[in-house]
Amino acid sequence: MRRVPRVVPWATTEEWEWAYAALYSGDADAQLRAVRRLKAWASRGKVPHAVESTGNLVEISLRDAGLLSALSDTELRLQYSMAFIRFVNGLIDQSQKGAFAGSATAVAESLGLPAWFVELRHGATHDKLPPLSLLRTGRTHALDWLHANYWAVQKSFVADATVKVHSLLREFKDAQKAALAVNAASASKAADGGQAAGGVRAADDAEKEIQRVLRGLDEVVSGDNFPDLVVPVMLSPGFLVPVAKRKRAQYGADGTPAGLPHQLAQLWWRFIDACEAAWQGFAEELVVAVVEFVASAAAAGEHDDHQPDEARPGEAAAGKDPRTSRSFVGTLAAWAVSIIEKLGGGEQPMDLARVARACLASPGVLSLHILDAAMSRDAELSSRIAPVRAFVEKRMRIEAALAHNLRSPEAAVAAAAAAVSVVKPSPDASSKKSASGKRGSKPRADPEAAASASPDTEAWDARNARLEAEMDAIRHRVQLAKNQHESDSVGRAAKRVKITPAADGQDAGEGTWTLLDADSAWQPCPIGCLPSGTVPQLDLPRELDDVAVALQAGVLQIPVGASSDALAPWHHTPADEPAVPDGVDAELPAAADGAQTRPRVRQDHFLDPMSLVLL
Amino acid sequence: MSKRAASSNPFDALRKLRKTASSSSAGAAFVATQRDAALPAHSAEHAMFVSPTLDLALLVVAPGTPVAFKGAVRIAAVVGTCRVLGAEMRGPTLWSALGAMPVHSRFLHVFSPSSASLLQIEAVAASTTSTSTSTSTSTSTSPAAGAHAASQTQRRDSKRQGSTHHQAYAAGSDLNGGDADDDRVREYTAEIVRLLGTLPAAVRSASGACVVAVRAHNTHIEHIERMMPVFRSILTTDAPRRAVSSSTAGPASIRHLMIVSPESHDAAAGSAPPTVIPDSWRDSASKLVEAAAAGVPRICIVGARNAGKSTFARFLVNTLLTSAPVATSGGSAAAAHPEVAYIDCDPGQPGLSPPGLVSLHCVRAPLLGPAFTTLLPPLRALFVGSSSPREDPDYFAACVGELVAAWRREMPSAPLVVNTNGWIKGMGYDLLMHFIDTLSPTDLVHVAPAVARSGPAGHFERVLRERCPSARVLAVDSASDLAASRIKLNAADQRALSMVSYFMRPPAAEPHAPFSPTRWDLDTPLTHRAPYAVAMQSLRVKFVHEDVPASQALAALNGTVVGLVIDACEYHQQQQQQQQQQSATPATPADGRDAHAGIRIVPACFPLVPANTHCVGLAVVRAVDLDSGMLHVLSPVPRNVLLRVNLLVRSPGVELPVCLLTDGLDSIAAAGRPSAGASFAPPPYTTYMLAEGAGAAAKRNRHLLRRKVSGRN
Repeated sequence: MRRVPRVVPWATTEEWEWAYAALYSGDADAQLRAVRRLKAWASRGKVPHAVESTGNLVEISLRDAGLLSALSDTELRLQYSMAFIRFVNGLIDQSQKGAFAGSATAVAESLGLPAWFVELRHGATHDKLPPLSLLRTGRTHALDWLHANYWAVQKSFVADATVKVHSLLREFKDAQKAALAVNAASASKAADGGQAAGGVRAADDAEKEIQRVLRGLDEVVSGDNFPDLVVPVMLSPGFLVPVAKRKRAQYGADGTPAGLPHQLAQLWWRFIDACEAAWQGFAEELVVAVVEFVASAAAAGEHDDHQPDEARPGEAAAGKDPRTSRSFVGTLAAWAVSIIEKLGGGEQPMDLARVARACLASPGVLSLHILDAAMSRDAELSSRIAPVRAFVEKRMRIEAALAHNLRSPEAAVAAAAAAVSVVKPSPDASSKKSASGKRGSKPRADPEAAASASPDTEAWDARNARLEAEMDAIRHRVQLAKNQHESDSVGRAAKRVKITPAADGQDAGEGTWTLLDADSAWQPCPIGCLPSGTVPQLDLPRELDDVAVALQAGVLQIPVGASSDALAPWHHTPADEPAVPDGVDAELPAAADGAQTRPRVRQDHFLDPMSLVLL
Repeated sequence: MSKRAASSNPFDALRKLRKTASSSSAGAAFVATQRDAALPAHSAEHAMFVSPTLDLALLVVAPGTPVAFKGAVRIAAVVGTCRVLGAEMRGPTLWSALGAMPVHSRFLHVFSPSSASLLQIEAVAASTTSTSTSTSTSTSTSPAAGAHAASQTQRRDSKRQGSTHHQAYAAGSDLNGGDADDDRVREYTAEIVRLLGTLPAAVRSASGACVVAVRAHNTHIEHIERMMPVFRSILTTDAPRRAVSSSTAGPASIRHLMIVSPESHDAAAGSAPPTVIPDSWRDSASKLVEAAAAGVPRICIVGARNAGKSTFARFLVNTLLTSAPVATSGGSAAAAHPEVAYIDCDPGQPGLSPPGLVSLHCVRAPLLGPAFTTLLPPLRALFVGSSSPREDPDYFAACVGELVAAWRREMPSAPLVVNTNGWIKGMGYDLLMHFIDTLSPTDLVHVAPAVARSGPAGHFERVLRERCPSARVLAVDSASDLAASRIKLNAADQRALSMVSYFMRPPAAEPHAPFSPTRWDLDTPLTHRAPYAVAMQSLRVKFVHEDVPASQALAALNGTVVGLVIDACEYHQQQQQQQQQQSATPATPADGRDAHAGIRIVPACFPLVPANTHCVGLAVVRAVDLDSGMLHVLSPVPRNVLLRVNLLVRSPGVELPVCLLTDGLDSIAAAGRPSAGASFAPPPYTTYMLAEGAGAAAKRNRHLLRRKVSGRN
């Protein structure tokens, strides 16, 4: 069962961290950028209250330029008051529990909110409007409070917890090693015929230490976040995979790793069992993480490690991530196989179909090796997946052939054609027909369906149809490879969709709303991403935030017949300047006049150096 | 994907009804109705006769004992008359002539998930409908006379309505459209006749009973259960289902039908209670049917939240569409209405459109299921963009006023049913009164719990009578006080259900072009669906409820749900003027398109004009390609309608359920993700990180927090 993430307005954690840094940078320009991004977040929805409050307070601060402010003191006091009231009330409302409202003071105390925040809120709401100086102080302290109680807490949470988990895992490793050593010693002593009391005590100590570590881990980690906290640490060097290469799994003759070394298995199985007992699904998450790690390592280009153990610094100097070395990923794969073999069919069996999906989504020698382990645990899964697996393996060979022959497309075509004829599942006429009908809708293999659908819905002809569609996709790729001298990369094909400018801003007509089929190289990808799998940079030029520039560029669209003062409240234009939309009714002479004759709207006049002083 | 395989999937289910007798030599299996073996046997007032060869069964419903069921099926009355949520179905065959060949029964899709109160099939006593039964048998070629008449009218009307917005949908707008397997009609008809012949004498003698033919549905809607944990088992049971190969000609049965006996609905139906129709519903509905026979009524349904307005609205629409002819005061018999106009003013949980819209619909077939199963293309719809009118009451009032105006223009002769939202206090009261003034309804139906009638509800009725003296005010009881408390899904879950149902239609690449309201494809994840590429230059974008700086427009748009609007407003043509004098404005780069990707924004200060706009539906902006100036857009709206869309409206109140973001990501190659450390990368705009620190949660409205006041009570 995949975990359900939480929806947030920022695309990535990096975007959140960028906003955090910018809002507290003290640089008015950076703050303004962040405030504007926060407005985009507000339109997306689900903005944390603390983020919203920070944005409100910073935005007003930017308008507050002392003597040079475009706003009167009263305006500033009203704005500060409202931002402050909403900041305090929002926090208190979120902490209200039960059917009856508690008093604001009591809730504030439990939150660690200074009592005078509540008084200032009360004053701003009910009494005389507080003086500007007091509101500025309140603003400054509110921003500090938000920094300490939201931003810093949220940012450091994962980092702190990861560090803690890291050290706990090291302690576990040491304790378990000690316990194993004691056991080994007592075993040999028992063989000799005697048992020393010291051995028993040492074993007790080791056991106590192990229990202490596991308890400590339970305090930091919960069933919700173990995949973020524990699993990544386990996959880093020195844990499931020892730093010393001689302690890692060895490769067999067939290019797949042999079993885990006995010592390594002894070291960590105790831990894995404990985790699986504490958090259901731990083993499954671990195996899926290994599969994804193995795939990404393969994508990054795994490398052989000839260097002896001592030469690790040299490896780093060569610019290679030690985690992509062959022995590293091989050992992880061996762990995955071992875990599947031991826990794959337990009382609460792991979701082997999910593991299989992950393997098929990014096939490689190692992921197929892991897949084989999963298939051997589950006969039903195996019978469903076998044809897909066979196909994927053959496709891998074709792709390898293509990769080697890219420089001579004809050879590649020939090689791929040969491979295709080998795998062709001898379909009957009907499946051929359905394949061509579905061509384009499914450019890639669909392991999801193969693994999740029940066998009866996976009729053989449907399988064959999919394989056929896959063949089409491969032929298509061969064709693309052939055309490569014409376009730089296959990915660009998507951008070759021609742009038809709207005739005069009315109905778009044919040529737009083009369905991106297989010919445009579109691929499944997360919502919000381009087919490359990344969220593009989405900032448009800042100049567009200037109404005059945006109007002139045609970015702002003004309805015909709109009243001329409609734009006025949209942009705070001081009274002594002509309002921006003056010419709107008269067919926009403002734009026609050009920038020389018309006084341009002052650009962000609140970006005065004085505002820096106030911050 | 696996459509073909799935639709030929055997129907595995009547074995959910436990006591399955082995197929007798006569070929009919007798199935008692209690699902739970522990139940007393006395609840076997109805019986099921299952075809051994087809996905077909005959259900005998005795008068006075409605049969509640859970699941999705197709039903058709064969003998006698039955009602489902007000929709009357008359069988073509008479008890006195059982052996006669029934004409083809037109099956209607019926959806009864436990996300709402369950539907009931009730037999209508022969005495009250004897005339109508014989009438329909002799005059109609179809058993479901009302629905059939509706489809005929539709064919006629699709020509007449050519000028309206919904022209593109005309082919597929019939909610319960005929099924593609018409070639098998004979087969099914013959089997129905054969099964009728096997009815035990005891059943035959029980005149007044209704025989309903039940078939498996072919909509795949039950796959919606996998999308969210809270959707689990809303249509099927928890019991693991064993699949049977499609080629096996063994005993077929009907999947996803579960008869719920009155005592068992707790245990068996996942706690959803059946919709027990109060007498006040029938009384009011029959009064309104009379009114509709005499003229064109404008019926406005009002009431507080969760009072049962939507369910009553459906009941009323179905009654108007299918009720038997009534004798009017003049003595002439008025036929059932071929179409009913339906306006939904609740953008939070609209009955026929996705959340965020208010809409006018032309309804021609009964609405047999909750909102997410009856999403229909609108005749006219307007984008509100929030779940309540609170965000922009003026605009909201203009929207609902425009819908009434659209009804007056487009279908003035059809009876109008208006369902209002439940905001009847404070400004909501003023809005409602303003709307009532606009509509000047002939009938006001106030839905409220019977117990509240002596208190606030009664007061509200008096206010309504004073305010609107020309209208008749009908008091109607809430369907079931238990219903709201028993259903596990809250309003946000219901919105998610509707959103998932709305977007998970067969993808555009599928050759089956016309939109069909009863077809879903919940197995092709949204992340895997090829989007449309549309040039930003050919559209305008508008942000409502939150102002977005122009430079941030794309950051605000990427990965969100937008309203697709046909906007008839004219705009000033800045661009040409700008191109004519490409003066050296420093802020305008040489190639204007590259700088701002061709985006065109309608500033927040120019509100949408309801009279000038029509929202054809919703879309997901699944990606923004800045380099080519293209938006990648997913929408179930047909392409020929999309071609007319020229405005995208974004509002924070319309959310994409997170399950649509994550669905299908497992099989997207990890290799496409950035780096080796990204094995746990969540999709964009989501996180696995816990919300830590003070104020880390998004603000929610503060409702219903009472203060402890000393001295009170």
